[in-house]
Amino acid sequence: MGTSVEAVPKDRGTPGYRVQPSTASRRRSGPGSLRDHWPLYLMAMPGIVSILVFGYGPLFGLVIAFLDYSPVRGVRDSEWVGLDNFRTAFDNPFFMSALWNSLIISSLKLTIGFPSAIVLALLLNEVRVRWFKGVIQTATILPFFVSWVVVGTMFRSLFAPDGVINEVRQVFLGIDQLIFLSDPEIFRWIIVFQDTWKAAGYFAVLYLAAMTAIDPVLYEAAEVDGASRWRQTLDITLPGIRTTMVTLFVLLSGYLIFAGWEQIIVMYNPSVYSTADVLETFSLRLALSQGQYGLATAVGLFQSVIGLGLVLITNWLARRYSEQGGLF
Amino acid sequence: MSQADNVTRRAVLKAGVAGAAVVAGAAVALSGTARPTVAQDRPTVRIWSPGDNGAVADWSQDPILQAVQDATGTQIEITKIGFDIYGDQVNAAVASGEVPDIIGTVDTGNRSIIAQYVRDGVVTPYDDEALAPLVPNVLAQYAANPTLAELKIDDRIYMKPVSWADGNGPGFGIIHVRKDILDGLGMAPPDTFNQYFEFLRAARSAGSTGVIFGAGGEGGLGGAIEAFTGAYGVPAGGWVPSAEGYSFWAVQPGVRDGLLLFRRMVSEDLVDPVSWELTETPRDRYVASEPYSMIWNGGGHVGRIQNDMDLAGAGALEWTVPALDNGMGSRGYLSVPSFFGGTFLGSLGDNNPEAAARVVNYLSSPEGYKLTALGIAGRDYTETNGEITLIPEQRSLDGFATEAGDTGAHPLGSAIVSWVPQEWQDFSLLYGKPPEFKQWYDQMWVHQRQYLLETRGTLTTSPLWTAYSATSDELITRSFLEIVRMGSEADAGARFDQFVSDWQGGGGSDAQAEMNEVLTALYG
Repeated sequence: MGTSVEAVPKDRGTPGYRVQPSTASRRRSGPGSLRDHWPLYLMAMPGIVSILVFGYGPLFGLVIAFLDYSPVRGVRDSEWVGLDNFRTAFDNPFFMSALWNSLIISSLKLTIGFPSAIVLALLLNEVRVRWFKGVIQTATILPFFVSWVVVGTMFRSLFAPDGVINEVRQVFLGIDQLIFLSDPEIFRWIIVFQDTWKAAGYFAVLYLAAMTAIDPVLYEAAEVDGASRWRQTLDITLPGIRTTMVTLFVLLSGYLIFAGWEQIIVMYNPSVYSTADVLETFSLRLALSQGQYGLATAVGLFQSVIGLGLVLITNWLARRYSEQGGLF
Repeated sequence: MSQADNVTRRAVLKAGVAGAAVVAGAAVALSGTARPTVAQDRPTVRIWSPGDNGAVADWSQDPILQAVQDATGTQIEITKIGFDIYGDQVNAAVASGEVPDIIGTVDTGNRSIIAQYVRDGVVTPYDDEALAPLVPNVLAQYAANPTLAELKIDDRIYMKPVSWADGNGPGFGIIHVRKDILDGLGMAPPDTFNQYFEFLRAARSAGSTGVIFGAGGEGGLGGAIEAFTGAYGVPAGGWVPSAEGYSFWAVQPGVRDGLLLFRRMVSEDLVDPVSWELTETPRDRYVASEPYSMIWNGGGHVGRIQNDMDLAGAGALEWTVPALDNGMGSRGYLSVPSFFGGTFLGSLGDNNPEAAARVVNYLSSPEGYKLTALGIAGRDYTETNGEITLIPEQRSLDGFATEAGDTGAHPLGSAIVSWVPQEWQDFSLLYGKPPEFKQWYDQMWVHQRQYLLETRGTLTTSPLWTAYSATSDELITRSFLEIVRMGSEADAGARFDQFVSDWQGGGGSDAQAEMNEVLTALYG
């Protein structure tokens, strides 16, 4: 694994622990490695090719953002319009609200979802009954593999005016019906908590995997020193998974401009456009479904550039302020 | 390598080849089922149309499709695509550079897309020199309804209106009430909004969930406000005469009043909350649940709603009310041409517009309408001295709908050139019914048509309006939903004023000036 943790003395009387890069990560690279490990490289080829074809190949299509693109005329014969599509997007009265909604929803998802996965992983890490841990882990990771369409349908049914949640509120609590999914403020929070519920289990597994790499001797030493479980969590577990945390945080920061359109499009309705319309749904309704491919691509390119900027900024901050450094 | 290994490998190879042959054979056989067995020298016409195959299990064996092929000398491949994804599929087809010969029922409200089809030569005009002689029925439809001139692009006819009648009729904002509930409450059918709200209040006390409509779709309130703005003299669509010539309907002061009236209904808790999230038709809930009132489509649907209520067996009675009065000296539902969507002829590389035109024209002819509505004479029905007798067993085998909620027509009768002509819808609805049902049905039609407000320009466009209409629609959808749900009337009024300002400042004023010129040229 990439890290190990060693105990070091701390000033305040309780032991501290420092994560060290493992020697295993310092492997030989270069042509020699290719010669030695060609079967591994060969196995990686399909993945690499698919990334090149499906990840980088379509980047050439970004030129559409600068064209009055007609699929019939193609890229070559479509009129070059420079930045007109960007101007059209920025001038649209709904663009700025879509941008803000994207940022707000993503930020809330990150603020709530990111620590939730860590907390879940820490809690799971403390469970000692194996079968119980397995059950909880399975139950929490399962939603990640359910499609947004299914999740959306479930939630629409649950939160409908005549759905289960309203029924329970009315019958058992005597509270009036609440129109959850067409109330702009409530809808936003449902989106955030739904995403947290769906993704926390998956990210918790990544953190749990990182926790297994922590040397158990550290915990034993801490116990001998009289450190409580809480202190062990703060001084051993969290530092031990810090690299994973930084990596995921940097990666997730790049998605701050992408609010998760699949989730929203299966859930939203015009009553909540004011808080739920994000850049992707905006571009789908007002550009793509109108055949404005150039406009839609311009919005997508804008998002990608902002996303790249966010990754670079977050990585720089991580390098500047974190002992572990950035992702790159 | 041992002999045993060789044998095993050979055996596996043989088995693999045999398996592949079986799979390939099955694939060929299955792919062949999409195309009916006809003379191979006939030109192929590919049709796309929204909806489903209905009761047709296998198009290759469908006698009605074969009759159309024989009448038009074509070989037809038909693909029905779900309504919810149809527009995207057509866009994807255009983007791929390969479109069907007949692109059925494209939403004519999407002006931007249609303008691109024309600009890029994806579609060809019906009144093209070579095609015009092949489509007299399409051209006759335009001649019969002058409003359809608005559908022309560059003064050419590019789309066949997918219609159910030639003239104009009410839009989608008909107010329906349950007559049996009214009777139970000892109330007469409402004639004014006050009476209507009084009924809704009484119905709520009797267990109603409130009036239902579909406001969860992309259009938001859509036609639900037709009667409300109509009570203030504004048709809820198109362009209305004003001091400047023609002004957009949504920014008229009467719309403000109509929305405030609608808001009154909402604020008094007379609306079923499901309405705000309902993306599909509210009809099913109206039939099966307790709204006791609905704002939705009318026409032949009224008879089908009653049929479904009868099947449910709860003694429910459907009633449409004439557009309601609010003491302002005006009332009316929006009057619109009786069609939804336009059917185009593809004109890209592999398309055969001539053969496609023959199919469209035949399906639009009296014979074509009768074939898709009733079936084949002597097989699906008999006719003696003008008296038609259906043969239900054969019709159900030949793909005709048997459920009460349908028009009774074959799937080829819907969403290609028509939504089944009203005369055949009426025939199907009234077939075998007692005279009282017919009397009631006729009365419901009278109610819907009693007060209609004419409008202009619902179908036409100009370059600026084409560019702005999607934003305009979005402004209307968002603003009107907010207005009718605002906490106070003052806030709602202020929000409407903000909407008008946004609409005009966002490009509406310029688009309106340009549309004014277009409409003045059309109507003076």
